[in-house]
Amino acid sequence: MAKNENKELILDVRNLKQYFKIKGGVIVKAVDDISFKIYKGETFGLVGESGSGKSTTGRSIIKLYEPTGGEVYYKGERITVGQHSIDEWKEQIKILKKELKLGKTENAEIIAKLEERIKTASNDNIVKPDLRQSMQMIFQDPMASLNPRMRVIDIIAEGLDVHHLFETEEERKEKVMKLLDLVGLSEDHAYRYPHEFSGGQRQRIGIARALITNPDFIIADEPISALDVSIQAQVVNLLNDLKADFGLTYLFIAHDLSMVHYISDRIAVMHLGRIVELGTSEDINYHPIHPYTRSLLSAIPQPDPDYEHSRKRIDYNKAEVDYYAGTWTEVTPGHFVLGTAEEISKWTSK
Amino acid sequence: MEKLLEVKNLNVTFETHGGTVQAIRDVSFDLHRGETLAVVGESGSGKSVMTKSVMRLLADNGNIKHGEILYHYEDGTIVDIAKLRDGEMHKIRGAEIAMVFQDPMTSLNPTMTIGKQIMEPIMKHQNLSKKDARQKAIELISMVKIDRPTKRMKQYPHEFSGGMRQRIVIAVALACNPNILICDEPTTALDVTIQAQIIDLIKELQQQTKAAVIFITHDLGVVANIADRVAVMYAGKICEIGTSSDVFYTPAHPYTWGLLASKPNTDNLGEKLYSIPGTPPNLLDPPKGDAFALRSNYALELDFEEQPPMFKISDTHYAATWLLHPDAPKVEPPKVVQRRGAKKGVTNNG
Repeated sequence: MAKNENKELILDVRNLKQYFKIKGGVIVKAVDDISFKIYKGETFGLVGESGSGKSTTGRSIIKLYEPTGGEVYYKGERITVGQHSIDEWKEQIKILKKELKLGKTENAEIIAKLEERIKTASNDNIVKPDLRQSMQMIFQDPMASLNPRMRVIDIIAEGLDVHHLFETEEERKEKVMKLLDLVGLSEDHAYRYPHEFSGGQRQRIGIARALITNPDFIIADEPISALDVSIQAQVVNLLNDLKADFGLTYLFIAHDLSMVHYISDRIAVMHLGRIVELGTSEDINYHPIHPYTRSLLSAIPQPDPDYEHSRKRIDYNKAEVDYYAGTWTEVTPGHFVLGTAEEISKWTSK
Repeated sequence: MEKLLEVKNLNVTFETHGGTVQAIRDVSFDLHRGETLAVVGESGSGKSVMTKSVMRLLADNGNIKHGEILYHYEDGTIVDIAKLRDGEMHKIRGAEIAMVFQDPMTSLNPTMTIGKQIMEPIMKHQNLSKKDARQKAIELISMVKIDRPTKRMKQYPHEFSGGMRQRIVIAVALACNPNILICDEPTTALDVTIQAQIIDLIKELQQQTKAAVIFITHDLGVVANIADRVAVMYAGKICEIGTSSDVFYTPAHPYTWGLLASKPNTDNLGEKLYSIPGTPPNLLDPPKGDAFALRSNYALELDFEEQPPMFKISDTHYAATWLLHPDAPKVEPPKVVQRRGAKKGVTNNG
């Protein structure tokens, strides 16, 4: 990733797994071994269809879930170690201890090391208050994510209250008013309740709430998909302006590839819990390699009748590609695809 | 072309606690055999209310205040749906005009087999024996491209995926060979790849059955794909109507300009998205003049005082904006919109 070498790494996701146990002991692998890096100041788009695991990824990163496997580093510090790794170490210790009793004295040192490792991991897994301030989330449905019984001023100031980020009531109010103004709402909106606002305005409240703690990194989970077309553009422009003004970094999760293309610097395409392709916005949109990405792109309708009448849809047959056989391969600098060498040469020759 | 439906000066209101909502304000349009008319608009623009009026499915507090909805039977008789008694409406609903709703899970009965649900309208409207109805239902299931139709007859909706369910809903709608098929956001709840398949299916079935389709959506990409003609609705009115080419390449109403310009596409990458400021007006108390004037950069003084009539641009293209008045000042549409016309080799003289 030549272009990113000088850039400051903000988020490093390594082999993240998020499994859920559902009824009947079935395990759903919602996110299955994905890795990516996000650099300071960029907008990283994560696209996929429903059930691809894109929202789960965002929620695992911000620690709304307890990830099953892998590690997440934020600004160089490890914030997550998967529960599986910890369990595995514990299992190893059990065996080593049994052997120790049988006279394998050299195990004592390994046990101590593993115990130390578990201790640091558990310590890293504790959510630190400054992480909660520095990493924020904007949700899809602004009605479901705003407490209907709270006034806007209290919704936005909740982050200040939790983290004790103000001295006087006056300061608290001032900070909220500044943000209301920033997201295009007015001061008299502060004392109203969420139901008094339109969808676009509610999303602005959600954005103000995310910004109040002065974050560096924002996970936006489908922030515009519940909004009307004319309002979507307003919110996207606002997100872009705020990013420039505050030097924010975004993880932008969406299913609408044309909007992701517009807003993102780099894009990762998810399917069935895996990232199948990752590259610059240009790579993904103009030089897609993976057949799933191609199929997804070919399915997006454009507001142009001539284009639409000549558009050919590419069908994707999952059965032809084994995600577990493939390896994560850098095809051109910064452009990664999940596939076997054979598959990739077949895809790129097309 | 044979006329199937004429809507003339339709006005629909809803009585609410807050007062009378003027949901449809003087809407007129025609529908011809074999054509697809797409109706686009934001939430609250009246697009769904309009089609529900045609189906006479308005909620109890909704009234058709004024206007005619003329349905032309094949034998030449014409009835006004707006004035039909409920008993007579039963003969039209399902048999002559059928509807496909947005959410296939709510429009199918979860406790009834797919087979029964398809056979029900056939037996009701076509007086076929149970055996013949069953045969017809199996044919319909294969017509909407679902494999093993005989087996599917015995299955329940929850055994189907979202896309398959929507295919079943379409099969039910087509059961009585309707002359008009109304599709109300039929693909909004689906992933893009599934959406593309459903749209292809609707187009194909339309070719076979020669039915007219009214396709309601907020997605301009889908409109460009499916529509022969497009009606753009805003605040309960049609503000522009024309062929797909008219509306996408030489749009005339500032609201249409805004809608087209606010969608990201290959032309506006890297530019700030054009966004329509503000929010749609409250239809409890619609503005006196052009409902879009408050949000329009192109509003004239007259727009705030008097509602613009439908100006004729060509035999197929009409728009309601004072900008089309011979005495109106010449204005330039947004750059993105001008480029659309240029691509097509036509000039946009707004």
